[in-house]
Amino acid sequence: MELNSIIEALLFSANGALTSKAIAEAIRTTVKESDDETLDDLAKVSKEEVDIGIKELVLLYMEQGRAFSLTERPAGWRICALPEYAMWSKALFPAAKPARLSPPALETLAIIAYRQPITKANMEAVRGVAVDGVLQKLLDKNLVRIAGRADLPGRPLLYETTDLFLDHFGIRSIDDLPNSSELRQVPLPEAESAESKDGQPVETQLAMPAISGVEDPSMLTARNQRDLRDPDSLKESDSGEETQADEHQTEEHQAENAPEVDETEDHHEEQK
Amino acid sequence: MDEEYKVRLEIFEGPLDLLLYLIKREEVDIYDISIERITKEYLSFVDAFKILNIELASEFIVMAANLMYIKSRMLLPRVQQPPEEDVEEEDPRWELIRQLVEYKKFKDAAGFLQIRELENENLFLSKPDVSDLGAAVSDQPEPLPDVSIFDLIRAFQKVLGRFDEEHSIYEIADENFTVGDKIDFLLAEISHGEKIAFFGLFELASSRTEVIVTFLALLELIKLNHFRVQQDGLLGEIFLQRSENV
Repeated sequence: MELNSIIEALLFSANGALTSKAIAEAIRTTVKESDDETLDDLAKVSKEEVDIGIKELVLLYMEQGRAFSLTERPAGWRICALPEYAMWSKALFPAAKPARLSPPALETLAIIAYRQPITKANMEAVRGVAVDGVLQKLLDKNLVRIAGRADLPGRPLLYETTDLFLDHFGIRSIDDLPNSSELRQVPLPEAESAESKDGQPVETQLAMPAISGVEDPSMLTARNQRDLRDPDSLKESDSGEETQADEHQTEEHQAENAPEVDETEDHHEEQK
Repeated sequence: MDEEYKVRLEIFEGPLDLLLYLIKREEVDIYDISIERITKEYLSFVDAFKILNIELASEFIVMAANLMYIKSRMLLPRVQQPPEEDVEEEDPRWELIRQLVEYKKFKDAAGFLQIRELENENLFLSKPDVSDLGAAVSDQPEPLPDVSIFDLIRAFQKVLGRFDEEHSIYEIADENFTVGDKIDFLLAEISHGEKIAFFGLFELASSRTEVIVTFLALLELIKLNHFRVQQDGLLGEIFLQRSENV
């Protein structure tokens, strides 16, 4: 059987996104459990070969003039209808309203995306105006989340973008943002987040924001590894802020509800 | 002006947005702005907001003070320093320009995000889950999505300026216009789907107050999505269209 056809079948049968790594694993497993010798050349199929296969499929679809293609998201590959047919597809979802953000929301989001993890004060320094209302909206929409606290007086909260942010804009990772190298200067070195559990120097973490779409598990920081295994812990720390007045109360509330975050901080302090 | 219906407009734009707007409008080089001109225009905008009784974030006032400070420094004669000394002859505009340039980069990035957002809306994925669709649906009306508040304020300033020119004799009018009245008037006068030029709304205004109140009513209706604002290209004429289904 042709590798590309198998990849194609898997993408169709999948329940959502599928990474090329998962595809390779699935194929290897099937071959191992099968007695069919003709499949032996697929026994050691690698992620890279799958990647090549996927690219060939995309080309094939284009040549054949199909109305669909494949797109890579943070969570993996998805089959998608071509944008030219969007007006037709829309009819299937009459209730869905376009979820567009206002310019101030986009600007604040851009600042967070490039400079994460970042405190509210630093965001306001760039924008020149308070970001409370806009920030709350972004938190409500789950496009940004709290990523721990900075090691500064007052221990202000740090914010980062979520996977939903990448999904909403159809970008694979933060590195795919334009002008990335220029805008993503390493922010203040004092900022610390809950991820310092492995004892990695804080500056390095800031240079490589921990987005769970990253393939290489060694680059995943402790917090995100926790997030992937246990979505509940993510929900707890995501309760976000309510109003300014409630902020203090909510932070304490969060401190109680997110024992893992606190443990890490204590652990970090002990290491000091 | 009647206080019973107060238009609450939350302006999320900040002083840097206003400055960038002014710079773009004047088509000047961001690295060589005329502080005097920018300050004058900036202050006239702050003034317009005051006339409209729209609360402006304190940062706007801080920036106004900052601009005037920079302006005053530019007026001071440059001190002649002996060459060996480490001269800190910084252009007093520099810090502001630096801040503007940096912010502009993020604004450009936000523009990119906006394009991606639109493109992504048109990508329908197979077996979509809830998070693909409704998670980011906003149920609150987003104020002024198409045309910036500054464009509207500027148009308002023009109308007010024109009005003051034509009506140099002040009449003591007995009329009491409330924002509520004008809202009813606008909704009654303009039918669903109808499009009307911004300036057309103020042709029959007989007093300065009427102009102001009409504009406030318009802002409120825009906020509530009864009207959509369109502009003919950059700095073009502004049109209002009554929404179909509201």
